Amino acid sequence: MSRADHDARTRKIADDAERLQRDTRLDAWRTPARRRGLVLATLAALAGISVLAWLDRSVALLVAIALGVGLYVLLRRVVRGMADLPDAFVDERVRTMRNERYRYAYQVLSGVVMLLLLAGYLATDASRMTWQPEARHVHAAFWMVLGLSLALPSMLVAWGEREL
Amino acid sequence: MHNRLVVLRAERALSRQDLADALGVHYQTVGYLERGEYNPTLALALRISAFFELPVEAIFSLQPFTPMSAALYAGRDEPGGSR
Repeated sequence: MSRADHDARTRKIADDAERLQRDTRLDAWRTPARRRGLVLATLAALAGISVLAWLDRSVALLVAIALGVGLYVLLRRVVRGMADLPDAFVDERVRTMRNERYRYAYQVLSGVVMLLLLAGYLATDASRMTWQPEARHVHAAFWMVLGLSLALPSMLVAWGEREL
Repeated sequence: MHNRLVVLRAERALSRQDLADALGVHYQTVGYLERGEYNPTLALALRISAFFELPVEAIFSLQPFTPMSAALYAGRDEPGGSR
């Protein structure tokens, strides 16, 4: 990438960040009650995606993934990209706040991954259990971990911040 | 930590957005600072100090500030009277 391309890309990110930080069009979604409702809806969509993957319902799974992506995009805009923007484009308070949210997100996500690994380990140990995981079960775990790793920081910001 | 940001901003008739733009922070960060819910780094405290052209200890303190009315009228015998 040339220097000019790099500068143009940086300017575009800076412009996008500025627009997100000053956005007022989604203020109706930024009340604490609506933010928490959006977090719960996103969690429900993630759970739905995993259940549908587990049940191997392909068409319904695609619909649920589309819904989940839509909710994630809305959630990210509602929190003004605070969980994702590069450090250079947010102020020191936001950096401090999101570091704390990332710490919680890491704890929750690592807990979920540990539980899934433990369940997988126990399930594949034929001497303890006869049930064996299939591809669809691995898909369900994959979607759950992928969804949480993408959305959890924004969900925690939306849930816990007094003002956005 | 305590601060006099609300008073200083009101004296200069600045909105939160005006102050935020001058300091290069999000306007809600000004609200968090004013309410004492966020303590600035030394770099931001010095930028605020430079913006208001006041020493940093005139804006931030670990002890509560004396209310302005008490500071202005300290030593007066009666309301509206002279020293």
